[in-house]
Amino acid sequence: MIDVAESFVGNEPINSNIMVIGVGGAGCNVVEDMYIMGIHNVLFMACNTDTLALNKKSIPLKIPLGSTLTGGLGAGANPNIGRDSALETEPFIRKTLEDSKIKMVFITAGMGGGTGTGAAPQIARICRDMGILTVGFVTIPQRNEGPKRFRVAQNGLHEIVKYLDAILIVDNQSIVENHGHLGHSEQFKKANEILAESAKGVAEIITIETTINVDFADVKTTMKDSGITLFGTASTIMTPDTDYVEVIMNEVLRSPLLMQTDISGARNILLNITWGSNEPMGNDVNRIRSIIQDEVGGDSIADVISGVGVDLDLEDNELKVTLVATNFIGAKDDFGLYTNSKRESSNDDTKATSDIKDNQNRITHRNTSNAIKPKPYTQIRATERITLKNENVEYVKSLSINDIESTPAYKRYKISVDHIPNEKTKKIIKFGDE
Amino acid sequence: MTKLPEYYASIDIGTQNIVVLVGKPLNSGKLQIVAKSVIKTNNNAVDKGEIKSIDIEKSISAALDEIKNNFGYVIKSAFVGLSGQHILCKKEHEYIFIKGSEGAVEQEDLDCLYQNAKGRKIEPGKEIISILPQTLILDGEELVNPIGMLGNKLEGVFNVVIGDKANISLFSRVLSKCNIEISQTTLSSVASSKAVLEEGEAELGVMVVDIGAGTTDVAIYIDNNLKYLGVIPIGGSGINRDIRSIGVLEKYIERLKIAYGNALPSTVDENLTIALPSVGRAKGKEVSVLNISNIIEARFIDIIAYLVDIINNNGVSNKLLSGIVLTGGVSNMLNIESLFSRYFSCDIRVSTPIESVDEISHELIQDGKYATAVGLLIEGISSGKESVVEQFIPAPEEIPEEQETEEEIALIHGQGDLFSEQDDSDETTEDPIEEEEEPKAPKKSFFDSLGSSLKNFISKID
Repeated sequence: MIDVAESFVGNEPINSNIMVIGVGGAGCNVVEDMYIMGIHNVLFMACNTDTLALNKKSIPLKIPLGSTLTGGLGAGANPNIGRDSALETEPFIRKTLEDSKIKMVFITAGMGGGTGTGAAPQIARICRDMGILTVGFVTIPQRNEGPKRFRVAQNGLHEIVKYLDAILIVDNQSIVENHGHLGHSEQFKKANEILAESAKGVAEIITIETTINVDFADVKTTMKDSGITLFGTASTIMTPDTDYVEVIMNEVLRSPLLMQTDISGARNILLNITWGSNEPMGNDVNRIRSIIQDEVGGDSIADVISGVGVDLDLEDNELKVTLVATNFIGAKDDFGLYTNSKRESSNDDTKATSDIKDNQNRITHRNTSNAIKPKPYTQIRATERITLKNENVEYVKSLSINDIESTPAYKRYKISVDHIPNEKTKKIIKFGDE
Repeated sequence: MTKLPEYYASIDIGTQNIVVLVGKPLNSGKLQIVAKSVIKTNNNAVDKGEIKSIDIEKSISAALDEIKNNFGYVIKSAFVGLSGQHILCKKEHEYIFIKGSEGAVEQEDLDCLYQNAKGRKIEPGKEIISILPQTLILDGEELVNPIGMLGNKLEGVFNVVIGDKANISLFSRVLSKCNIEISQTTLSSVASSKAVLEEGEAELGVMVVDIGAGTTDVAIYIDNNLKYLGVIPIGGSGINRDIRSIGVLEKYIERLKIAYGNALPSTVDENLTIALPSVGRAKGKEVSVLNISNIIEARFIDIIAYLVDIINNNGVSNKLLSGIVLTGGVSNMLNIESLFSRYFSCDIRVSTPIESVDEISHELIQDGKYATAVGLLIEGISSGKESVVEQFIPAPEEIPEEQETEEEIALIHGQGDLFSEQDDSDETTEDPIEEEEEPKAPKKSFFDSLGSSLKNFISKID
C-alpha cells in the first residue's frame, strides 16, 4: 500500500522563496489585498503592533510586534515605538524567515504613521542582514495630511532606503489627484490596489514560467542594490483594427508607479511580455522592445532582460507588459527623499556585497558575530513533529476518549512546558482581574 | 402576537455556548441577521456536544429571553443543529442483482440499492441519520451514473451516519420544555459547511473542520456531494484543561488563551511572561507565553492526527483541491493556519460565515463560532421549512398582571372587612391600558389601602 500519510503530510506545502511582508496598518491592508487577489507561489506575512487589527486579517502568518512594549495596542503614530517594537520581536522575525528559507522579500508599508515608519526599516535591515533580496513598496502621505506627517514619512524613507535593495514609492497625492472622481475610501483602496498589483507583477515575473523565462537570478541582477525603482504594467486586449502596441506602451509608460517621470538613464531594465492563448505577432514583440530601448535612451548601455511567454491567467486575446527600471544614472530625486550621500553609501555596500561569495561570507560572519543562538527547545521539537507518520496517527486513534481527556496533550507528545525565561531578558505582562 | 412571515430562527447547542439567531433572507440571496444571543452553558450540561443535564433548559431559556427582551422576537419553532460524539460515520457495502429488462440498470435498481442501505440492521438504540453514497460499482467497474448500462451485479459503497436515538430525542425533549418546536434538525457539520464554503469549493473538493469547544465537526465535499461526516471528540476545551494543569486558575484561562494564545510556538517571544495576580495566600504566578503556545500546539496535533486518519481512510488525500476550511470558535487562534499547513499539503483557510450574510450583519457574526447557527438558517430556508418567529409587543404582560391581582386578593383576604368599600382593584384588572401606565400600581394601592384602612380604623374607634 502506498503510504498516504507520507505523500500527504509535508512541512513545506508551498515551494516558494518569495515572501510579502506587510508592516503596519497600511502595509497589512495591502498584503491582505494581495492575499485575496492570489499570487502564485508567494508566502505572506503580516506584522503590526495593533493586535486587534492584525487578528482581523485573513493572512495565515501574523506576527504581533512589540507585545510587551505596546500591549498590542498600536504605536500611536510614534515611529520610535514602531522601531522599538520591531527590535523587540526581531528574533522571531528572523526565525520565521530562516524557517521558510526566504530568498526575496517585498516589504509593504505606509510611511507617516508609527508602525510602518518605524518598524519597516528594521524589518528591512533584518532581511538584508540575512542576505535576502529586499524590495520595498512604500506609500507617502498626501500633502494635506500635514507637514509633520510628511516629514515623518521622509525620515522613514531615508531610514528604510539604507537597507533596501530596491524601493518603489507610491505617492498617495498623485493617486488622489489622478482619481479625484472616486470616493475617499475608494481612493485609498486604489492606492492599495496599485501597490498590490505591482508587487504581484514583480513576484509573478519570477514565479510564472514562460518560454523565455526571467528567473530569480535575473531579478536579483536587476534589483540588487539598485535604489529607486520605477515600475509600470498594463494589459490590453489585442484586436486587429487597433494599434494595441501603441496603446499598451502608452499605458505602461504612464503607469502611476513611474511617478510621472521617464525611464531614461536606467541601467537595468526587466521587461516581461506575456499573453493568453493567442500569440501576438513576432513584430509586435520586437516593437515593444525597441520602444523601451528608445525610452531608456537610444545609445545607452542599459541591460535589458526580457521574458516572453504564455500566462494562462490572462484572457485569450490579452497582452500584458510589465516593466521594472532600476539603477538610474544620477539619482531620481523627485521628492527630496533620496540624497546623493545615501546613494553613495548604498553603492559602497554594493561593492562589498554584490558578489555572491562575499554575500555568503557576510552571512557566515553574521552567524558568528550576531549572537542568535539556536534555541534548544525548537531543535528537540523539530525531530518529534511535522511528519505525522502513520504510527503517530494510529497512536492517537488508539487512545480512548478518557485518555485524551485526562492526560494533557503536551505530556503525551513529551513537549516541554517548563520553559523559564531568562531573569534578565524576560518581559513581564501584568494580567489583572477584569 | 403576530407571526413574522420572512423571519427564521436557529438554535445551535454547543459544548460551551448556546447560539440563537434570528434572520431573514434578502433578495440578494444573502441573509440578514436581526437578532443574536450567545449564552454560556451551565457547567457540564453539555459534554462533547451531547446533552447531559436538564440544566441546559435554563441556558436555552436565558438565550430566548435575551432575544425577546433585547430584540423583540419570540421564537416558537426553530432550526436546530445536531452534534455530539455519538455521531458516527461508517463505511458500508451493499449490493443487488439487476432485475431490469435486458439486464440494463434502471432507476428502480438504484432506488432499491438505496432502500437496502437505509434498511440495514444497526445496533439497537441507534438510528441512521443519513446515507451518503460514495461510489457505485457495476460488475467491478466504478461508475458515476450506471443507468442504462448493462451488467449483472450493482454494488454501492455508502457512508452511513449513525446517531444515538436517546440523545437525539433528548434534543427535542429539552427544546419542547422551552416551548420550542423543532422545524428541522441538521447535522452541525453540514450546517457549518453551508455557511462558510465559497462557490466552487464543494465541487473541487474540500474538508470543512469546525473546531468547537467540545467537539470538532468534519465534513468532506467532493463534486458537490457530501462524502464524509464525522465528529471528533476533541475541541478547544482540552486546551483549557491543559493550561489548568500547569497551575492557572480557571477564571484566567479563557482570557489568557484569547489574548496570548498562538498555535505556532516558533513565532512566540520566549521572554514574554504573564504575571497572574495573587489569589488568597498563594503568591502570584508567572506563566511563560511560550509554554501556553506549546500546550495549544499539542492539542491541535491531536485534532490533526484525527483529520489525517479521516483523509487516509476515505482516500481523499489528493481530491481536496480546495483544501481545508477551518471554522468554529477555536479557529480564531493566532497562526492556526500556519500550524495546519505544516501537516497538510493542501490549502488551509480560516473562515467565518460573513460571506453568507449582508454587510449590516457582519459585525454580529464575525466569528467562526456562529458558523453552525448561520448555516442552520441557510439550510432550513433552502429546504423550504417553516420557522415561526413572532413579534414581541412589550405591552400588557400577563404574568405581572396576575401577580398584581394576586397581591390585591391577598390584601382583600387579609384585611377583608376593613376596606371592602374600595373598588379600585376591579378597575385595574378590567382596563389593561391604564394598567400599563402604572407599573408600580400594587405598591401604591397597598399604601393607599393601608391609609384608608387606618382612617376607617380610627373612625371606627371614634
